[in-house]
Amino acid sequence: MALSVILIAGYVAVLAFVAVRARAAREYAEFSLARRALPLALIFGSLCAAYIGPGFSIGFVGKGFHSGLLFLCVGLAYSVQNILVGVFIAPRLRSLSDCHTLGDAIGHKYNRTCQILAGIISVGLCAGFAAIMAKAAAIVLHEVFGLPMGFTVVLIVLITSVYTTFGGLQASVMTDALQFSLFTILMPVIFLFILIWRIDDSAGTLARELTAATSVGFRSTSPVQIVGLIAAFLLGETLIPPYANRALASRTTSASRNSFILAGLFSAIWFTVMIALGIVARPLVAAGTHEDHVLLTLVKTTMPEAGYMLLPVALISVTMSSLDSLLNAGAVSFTQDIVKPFAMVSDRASLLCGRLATVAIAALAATAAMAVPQIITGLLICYTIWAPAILPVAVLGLWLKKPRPLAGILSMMTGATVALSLQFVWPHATEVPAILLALVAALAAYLVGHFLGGPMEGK
Amino acid sequence: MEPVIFAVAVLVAGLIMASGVWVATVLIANVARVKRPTVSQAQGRAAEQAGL
Repeated sequence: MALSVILIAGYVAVLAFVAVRARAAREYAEFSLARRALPLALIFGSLCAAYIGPGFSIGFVGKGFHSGLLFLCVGLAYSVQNILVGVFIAPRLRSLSDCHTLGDAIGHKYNRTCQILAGIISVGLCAGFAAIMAKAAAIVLHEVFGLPMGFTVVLIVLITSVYTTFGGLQASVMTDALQFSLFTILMPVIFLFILIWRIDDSAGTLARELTAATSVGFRSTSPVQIVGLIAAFLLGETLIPPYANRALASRTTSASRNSFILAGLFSAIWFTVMIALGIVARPLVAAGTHEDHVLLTLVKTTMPEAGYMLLPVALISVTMSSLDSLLNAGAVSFTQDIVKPFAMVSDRASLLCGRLATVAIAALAATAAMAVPQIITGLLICYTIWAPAILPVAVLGLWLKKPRPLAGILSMMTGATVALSLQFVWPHATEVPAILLALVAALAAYLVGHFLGGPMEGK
Repeated sequence: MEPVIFAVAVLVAGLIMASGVWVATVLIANVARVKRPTVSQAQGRAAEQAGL
């Protein structure tokens, strides 16, 4: 226990040092986009750290344990999405030099109403995702140290919101890069240690367990379920506010494009190692173990104490790096897309508004974290709302020459309404995945609005 | 087949660690370099933003 406290204290000290070196933002442009001066490696590391949350680490190890390569195939849809965003969307987004958020870009392409709608959806989604991340980090601390859940939620949210409130995007990206470096070294070390030293006939066992788990996975999952999962991974997190902010904050257009392409390629190898960790756990962990506990149980039973104590550090890094990105993106979206369209705000007032919004979203996330039922369920709800509500508007807006405001308004309202209805009012209405139905409805509404509506005034 | 699977597992683990080392190197360079702009730099940037 003393060793783990020393390790966690050391980790917090290094994190604090990096956050202090990133220094407090003095202007809104620094808080929101780090002056658009971030190099490729930092954008890449920060992007990867933002998307690798508990679902893509603890969740994937559990999926590998129970269903082998099935979830690697599903996860590859996410890799493809990142590469497509890098090739087709990120450079166009980055070329909008006066935009701070995705909502800002939508406002630039459509009108102010669309920007406000996109802002409301963005802030709500960031708060929802942040609550899930806070809950995930709290579970790790609760399970390893036995601390009360309420206390751990407050502790995690408090530490993260302090450096995000003062340092803005620069602090978020630099601490993300540190956390990325930590868990990308720790997790493969754990994997190789178990593979080489804890399993007899490691190559043969890996091959046998891989075949057995994969065949169980494909037998126990229907084709409709697989299509739904692929759709959620392909579309659900596309261009969510923290990723859009990183596309906008990169130093050049090519850095923006390449960071997404590299992040997509990296996700493929990351999923491979997480799934492989789940597969090597099969001979070592009891078959009925809940999938969220496979990684913790595996490391606890196979690693020496020092190795086991490194795991909370890696897992807290994984979740805090996602949490800080969401807090900053939500705060910037609130300031830029909800406050600024209604009032002329000075740079100083914008910075203050961004900081207060960070604190408010952190408080909201900490409160909501206690009500999050399951991590994966919460994530899927957020995915199902985000993709239909925003993606058609954002992607078509960036590619069409004269997008129509009515199309944007109808698409966002229809996509959000259908997704919410299928999630909360009629959850068993159909077997077709809600994300696909809501996306089709949003696209249809967009088409109607495009043909009925006029061009943007003043364009 | 088995040695190939083993080699792939080791290769992907190595690639992940290499990514971590690359980002850590750039981060250390940035942490060492980050400093507040001087007054003249800040004035220059303000003039640039104002389109002068």
